[in-house]
Amino acid sequence: MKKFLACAFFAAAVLGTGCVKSPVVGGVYTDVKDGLAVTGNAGSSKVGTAEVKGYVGVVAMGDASIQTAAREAGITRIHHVDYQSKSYVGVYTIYTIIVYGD
Amino acid sequence: MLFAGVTLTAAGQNIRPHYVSKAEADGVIYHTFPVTLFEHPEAGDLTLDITYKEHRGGRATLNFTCRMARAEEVDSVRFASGGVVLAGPVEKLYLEPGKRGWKHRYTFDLDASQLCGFFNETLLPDVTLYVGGEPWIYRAKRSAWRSYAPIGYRIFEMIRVNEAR
Repeated sequence: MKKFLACAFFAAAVLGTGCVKSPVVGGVYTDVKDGLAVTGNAGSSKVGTAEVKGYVGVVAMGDASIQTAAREAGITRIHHVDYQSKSYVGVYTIYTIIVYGD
Repeated sequence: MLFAGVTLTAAGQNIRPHYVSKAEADGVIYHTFPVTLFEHPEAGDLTLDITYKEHRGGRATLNFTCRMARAEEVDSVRFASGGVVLAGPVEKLYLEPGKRGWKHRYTFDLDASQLCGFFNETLLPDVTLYVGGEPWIYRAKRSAWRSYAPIGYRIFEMIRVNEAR
């Protein structure tokens, strides 16, 4: 029973790894930047970031909302939003929201 | 000689993962990702990020996050690295209660031309926050500073070179 549970946990961990939001995902290594949203507001002089992290495809924590990233830089008028995804062998993943605005 | 040493060390660093840049109609905007370089024995870590936009009078914005046991009003800040001092009043972004005290987020306007001199890995800088006139001193985390200072130096050297075109 213990072996079965261990195998099930390992399989879940392995199957769950490497899953990070990205237009293209690399099984071994991912480092991708992409656009998420654009508004009609003019220009930007501030940049705010927020991120979530995942470990072994089992635990994921953080707050990568646009609102949180904007608040980190005191942005009240958003110009555009990008994101960046990184994954190392699917074991350690980072998803970062980058908000530009004023 | 010291300047050359810093430059040589910085040349071996890959700075790309540590910042983002975006070309806009009125100049390129650069942003360094948050990095934890300083610590206070009681209050904990201080994390900072820097944003710079070209053609804005050479001013950069440094945002920093720190934790304190109570909600305090920070008046001003002083970043000192050898002879380079970046000091001035801070503006509060927000305060938020958490598991371990209050999270403080402040913004600070500085002269970007001094940032290359500030990121000197041979020195160990400190940050002083003034709360009601009383100083809170955050010391550099030695290994984190030694690792990041050449990267910070190279990022702001690149910005200087690009803006001078």
